[in-house]
Amino acid sequence: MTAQSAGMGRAALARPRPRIRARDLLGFVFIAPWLVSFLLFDLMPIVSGFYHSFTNWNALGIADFVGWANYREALTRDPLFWVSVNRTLYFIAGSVPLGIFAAFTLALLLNANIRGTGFYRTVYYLPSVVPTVAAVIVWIFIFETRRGILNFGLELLGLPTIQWLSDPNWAMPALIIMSLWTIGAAMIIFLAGLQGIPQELYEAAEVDGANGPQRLFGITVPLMTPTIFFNLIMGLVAAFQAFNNAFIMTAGGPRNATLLYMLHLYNNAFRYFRMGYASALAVMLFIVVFGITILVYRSSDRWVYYS
Amino acid sequence: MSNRRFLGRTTFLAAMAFVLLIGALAGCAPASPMPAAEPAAPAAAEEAAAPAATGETVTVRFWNHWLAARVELIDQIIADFEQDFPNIDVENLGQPWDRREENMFAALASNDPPEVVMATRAELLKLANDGLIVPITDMVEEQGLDLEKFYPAEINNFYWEGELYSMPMPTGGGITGMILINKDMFEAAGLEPVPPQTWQELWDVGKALTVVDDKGIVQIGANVGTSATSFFGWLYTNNGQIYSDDLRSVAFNSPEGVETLQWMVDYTNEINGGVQDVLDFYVTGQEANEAQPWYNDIEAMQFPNVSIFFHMQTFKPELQWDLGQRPYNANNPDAKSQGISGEEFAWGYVIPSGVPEEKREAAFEWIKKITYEEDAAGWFMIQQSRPSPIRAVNEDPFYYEANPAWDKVLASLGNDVSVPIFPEHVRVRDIVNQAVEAAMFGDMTPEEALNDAAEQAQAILDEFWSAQE
Repeated sequence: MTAQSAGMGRAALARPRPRIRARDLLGFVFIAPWLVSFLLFDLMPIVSGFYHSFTNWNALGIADFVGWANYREALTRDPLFWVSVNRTLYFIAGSVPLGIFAAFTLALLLNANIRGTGFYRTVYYLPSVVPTVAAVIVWIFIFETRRGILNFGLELLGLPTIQWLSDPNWAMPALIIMSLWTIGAAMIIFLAGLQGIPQELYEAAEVDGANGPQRLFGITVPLMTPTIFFNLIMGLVAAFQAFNNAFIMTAGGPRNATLLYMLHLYNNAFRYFRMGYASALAVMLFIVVFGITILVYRSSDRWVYYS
Repeated sequence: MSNRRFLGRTTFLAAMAFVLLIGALAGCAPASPMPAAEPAAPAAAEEAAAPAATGETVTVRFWNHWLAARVELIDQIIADFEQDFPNIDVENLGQPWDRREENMFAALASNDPPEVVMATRAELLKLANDGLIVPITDMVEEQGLDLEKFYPAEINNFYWEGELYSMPMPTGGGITGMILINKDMFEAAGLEPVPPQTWQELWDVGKALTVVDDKGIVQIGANVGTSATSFFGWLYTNNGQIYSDDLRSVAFNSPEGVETLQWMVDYTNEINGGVQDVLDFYVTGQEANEAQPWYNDIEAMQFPNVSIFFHMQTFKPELQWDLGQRPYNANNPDAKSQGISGEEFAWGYVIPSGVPEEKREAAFEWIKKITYEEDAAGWFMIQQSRPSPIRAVNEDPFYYEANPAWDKVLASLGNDVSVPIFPEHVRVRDIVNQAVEAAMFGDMTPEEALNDAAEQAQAILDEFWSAQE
């Protein structure tokens, strides 16, 4: 064995030093804007929020360490904390399933081979890009007791009219109905999923004599479960963070009927200047959303089919 | 042999760290306060040099909420100011009302805050207590300004712990002390068009003018309110108080307070069909716009603030109206008609602590212009037909020509009391809001609701004072 071959042997045995090729670096350069933005504007605030949840920070100056006091206050002394949790769960229970069902149904209809499909797809997506304030003003008129279109429909059906935004029992259903306004994004994702289902499966099912509902529940729905799963996760996260509509339309009222968690957090952060307490609320929200996402993810083994 | 060039992990990580560092520094750097047209953007500290000392232009960014037709008026004051101070450049940063607190907060939290920020009294006290704004007491004394020219109830709103933080503009009073009536609606109902003077008269007139059907209110005589702000307004016409004079204990749950809330609940239930109908009636007309019932002849009386004269000019100049003092409880011998000043909307203009010392002088000059100078602050109020916190301005003959009830507006201002509040008052107001709603919706009796609120509010007061000590 020559000295050279011995050296090569040692080099071969030595643990290879990880190296990054110049062309790989180019990839990192491309993602650097996102990476920098993520670290500065997402990760740093998350870490900072976690730290400040243990302080009485007012976001502008004072930040004394207060231990678990903020968490204790939320869980034991703040009367609006549990109200806002309750209202948020109500909103999620109503808006997420309804949103997924409506978006999926619309996607099925728009996946049909009919004239003007492109037009309809655009129309149904359009509300998703309308500014929230403008949408809320439109919805206030829709919900109006005397001249609103919803009550007009109820009257046509011979049903009593509803004071949608001033009755504590109906304000949250009104918000849930309004949440359907922005199902366009989920609908587009469902549509993409539907178009990815191989046509041969339907043809084979038809040959075997499957009718429409059998094809829907035997082929479409199972093959769409990954998309449903994705929209479910996204819908849950968005619903936990719902804020704008309640903030502009009802400001949490009447009688706290629409006091969503984020609204309560906002009040503490920006109206009372209690950023430390608001940070604790945000951390708890993060933990709950994270936990639920993990649970849903784990459950996906049982109902999501990837092939 | 491969000719690929490799980058070591260490080198790569160092490069990424460098990129991040540059990004972080860029993110933290103050935005250039100079307009883009300026030849160069000097560093904040250099740029901030006192105008008199260096002759350089100082930019004062004016964060405010004077929008719509008022933008042009502010711009005129700026033009006038810049003639007097050619080396001070005022930028009019009119801000939308939507998410006002959040935006102001973000501006203050930045390391390059606007030099002058418009804030409510409650916010101002909070900021002052936390040392986030600078007092102007010394600057006022140095220039020998005469604070006696303001109504005492107005200037007193802006002191905290003996230091002055702003001068007032517009009035913090004139918010709750008046009642406005639609004379045409009174006459159409066969009533003499005279504003009611007592709670009892208001009850009778309100009942005569209100129409309710199975869908809710068709026409409202008067809405006595469903919020803490309304409750506080009525509380002072029943000889009640929000806090004790020394601000150490809450007082809104006194017998006068309970009686006041009970009266509001009874009025709302018996005349207006209940709180739900009232809320529903105002769903599409909450803000100052022509959709409001007042501008559509379906609201006969209201308890406006002085900005109403400007809005009536804009939305319905032909409206036939008259003005009176807010009704009081005639059954309470100690009660009288009076308004409150500084509980909610008493606007001040503050200099954030983050503003470099060298720029504070310029910021103060601008504050003085828009609050103290009669040719600017007074003129701005006259243009809006609303009273000024400066007494002499309100004697301008224009007011008497433009407003047939001007003497009543001034009487109302004279009756206003400056309500003592503490920096956490916004939280207390929200707690009282909860109590008023609970009583209105029948979840609690007024006494239970106010006692419950008082317990929570007292805890906040105690916590605040113990932290102060």
